[in-house]
Amino acid sequence: MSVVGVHATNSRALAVFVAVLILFAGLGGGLLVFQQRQVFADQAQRDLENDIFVLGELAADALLRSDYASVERMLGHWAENHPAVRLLKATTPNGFELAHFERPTDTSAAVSSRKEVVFEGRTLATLEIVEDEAKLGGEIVFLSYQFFAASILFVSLLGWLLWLTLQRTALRPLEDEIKRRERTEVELRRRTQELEAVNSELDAFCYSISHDLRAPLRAIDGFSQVVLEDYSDKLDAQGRQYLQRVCAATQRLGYLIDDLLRLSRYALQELVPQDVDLSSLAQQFAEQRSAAMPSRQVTFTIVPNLHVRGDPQLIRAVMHNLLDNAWKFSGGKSPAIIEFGMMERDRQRLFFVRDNGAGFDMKYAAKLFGAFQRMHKQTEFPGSGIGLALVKRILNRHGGDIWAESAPGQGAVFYFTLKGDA
Amino acid sequence: MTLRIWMLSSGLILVLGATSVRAAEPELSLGVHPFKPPTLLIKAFTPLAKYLSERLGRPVVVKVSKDYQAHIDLIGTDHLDIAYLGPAPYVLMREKYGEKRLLARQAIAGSPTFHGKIFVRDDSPIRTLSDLRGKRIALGDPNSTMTNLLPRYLLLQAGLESKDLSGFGSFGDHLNIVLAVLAGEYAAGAVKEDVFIAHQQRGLRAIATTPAISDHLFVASNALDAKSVATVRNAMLTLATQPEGPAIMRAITDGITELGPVTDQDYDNLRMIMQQLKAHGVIP
Repeated sequence: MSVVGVHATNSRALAVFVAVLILFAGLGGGLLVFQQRQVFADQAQRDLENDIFVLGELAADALLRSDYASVERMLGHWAENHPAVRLLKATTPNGFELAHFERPTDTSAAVSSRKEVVFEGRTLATLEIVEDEAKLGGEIVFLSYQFFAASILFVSLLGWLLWLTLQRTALRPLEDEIKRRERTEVELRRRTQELEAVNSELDAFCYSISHDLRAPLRAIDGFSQVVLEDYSDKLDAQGRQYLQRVCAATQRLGYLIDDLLRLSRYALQELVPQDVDLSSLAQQFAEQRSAAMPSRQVTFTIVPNLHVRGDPQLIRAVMHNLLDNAWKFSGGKSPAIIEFGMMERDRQRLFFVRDNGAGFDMKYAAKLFGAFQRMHKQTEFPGSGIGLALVKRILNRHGGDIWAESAPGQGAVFYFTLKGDA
Repeated sequence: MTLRIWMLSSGLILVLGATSVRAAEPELSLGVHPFKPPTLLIKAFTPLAKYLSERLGRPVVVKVSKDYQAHIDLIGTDHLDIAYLGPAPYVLMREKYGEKRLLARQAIAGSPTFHGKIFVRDDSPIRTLSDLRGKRIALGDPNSTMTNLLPRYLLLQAGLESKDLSGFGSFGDHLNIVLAVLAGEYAAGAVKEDVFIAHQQRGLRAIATTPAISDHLFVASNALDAKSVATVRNAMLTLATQPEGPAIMRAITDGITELGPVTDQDYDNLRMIMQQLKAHGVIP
């Protein structure tokens, strides 16, 4: 799991923990509030029972002396002076409501009590009182707010402590790992820059050496030609043959030096990316070669409008080398078939050049893109062996890659990719 | 003075409120018979006492007598300076103690006379006075005009004497008579018409109405100086025209529209009724 993944998992675990904590705090709070509410309700009920008892005693005395007016007045005054009273009724045994008091209310919760005023077995009246629990509700709400605030404080404190603990235990190793990888990345970048510098120096050195080799080589070739032309009568046939072989070898060495110079130049050349029409380049190659060698029967199959973004000169070299190889190694086929196209694999465009030529054994595929590596004899297919190395270097500089699939006598397919192609 | 001291010490007078204007002036008493609980009566008559105090320039205090008879005796013996009297107590007081100077008579809804009602519960099978034979009736103080004397007169007219009933209840408070009937303790009761109307919707039905009797009045003690009597009388007779007049009168009894002039002859029909009651032994 990545460091970011571990961090996210820990954050989720912390969030779940806090959520569970809040849930438990909520449940605990709810339970406490419920319990407290019950206590308040019991107290309110007891208070009401006490009130109705006292009222009953007072009413009994008045009723025994038939002072109904006093009872009515007393109960009315009492109810008016007790804001919680929602309903008060005093009913005589014959059903007459001696006192009736009602007060509108918005509160649904209420406590109620009913008491018969009895004297020596005779019921004088029945009292009934209903009181709002408004005061009770207010106290419960206040208590709930208090508990909510305390819960938030408690959970915040616990969450903060948990965070500190996590930082000291679980997160510290992760942070160390992140720092270590960052250091490694910096080191890697530094080494890459060093390597690039060394390669650049190497290419410059190679270019310089190749350039310096040309002068003595021209001297060897030139003086060998002079000897052949001016002193051929003094040489026997074998001597002339040896000198001709020296000339041929110097010419080959000249070609090799040219290739090396080209390879170095491409490596050192600055990239100027532009839109490049690969199909058009392939089409130009086909037309030029067909015109130059009309005797060969070659069928070109080119998918049109395949564009990439890259340095036009270098991309042209890539296309030229791959198509030139296909042209060269299909020389023994009639008709030869050369295809250029594109396919998509894993959301990436793969360009390919396919031929039905000589092909090669895949066990040598690893050497295919090395400089001066050849799969065939010089006498069969001429060449310096620098072309594919050049192609690979150009494609690598464009962030792409190249590989091949083939079998002897079955032709070959060269696939290549370009980073950021159009 | 000896009688006053005796009455005060024996609790016959309840001094339940006072209005002080000038502490130096001797206070005047405004006596009221206990037709309602004393606390209510003090509240009811204090505005009038205050009004009179301002006119007289001396304090007037409200005093509630222990019962109707005590009230008659206190004003009859000039131990109250001003007295509010029901019609029957006035007639009894006049008969027993002689002439007093009359101040004013209350008029309810413009009428200086009033009626009483004998009533039963709505669901009662009693329809006429004769149906009350053998029943218990809630009445008021023996000297009360509309809760005792006039109802007894109506019963006599219907041929019912005390022996024909199973009992009388004696209540000092009109409201208690109403409630005692509604509570089922008594089959019928008798109160002033305005009290009956106020509580009719609670389930009352009238079965008889008394003749019109001249309403309650204020009288002055013979001991009170003529100037004060004139001042009080004038203050009462002009009360309805004063800005605070309606509120003062409404406090005494809802519906009073004025305190008008009064003469002793206004109570002659009541005297005749009471003579008949005496003849039948209802009044000793």
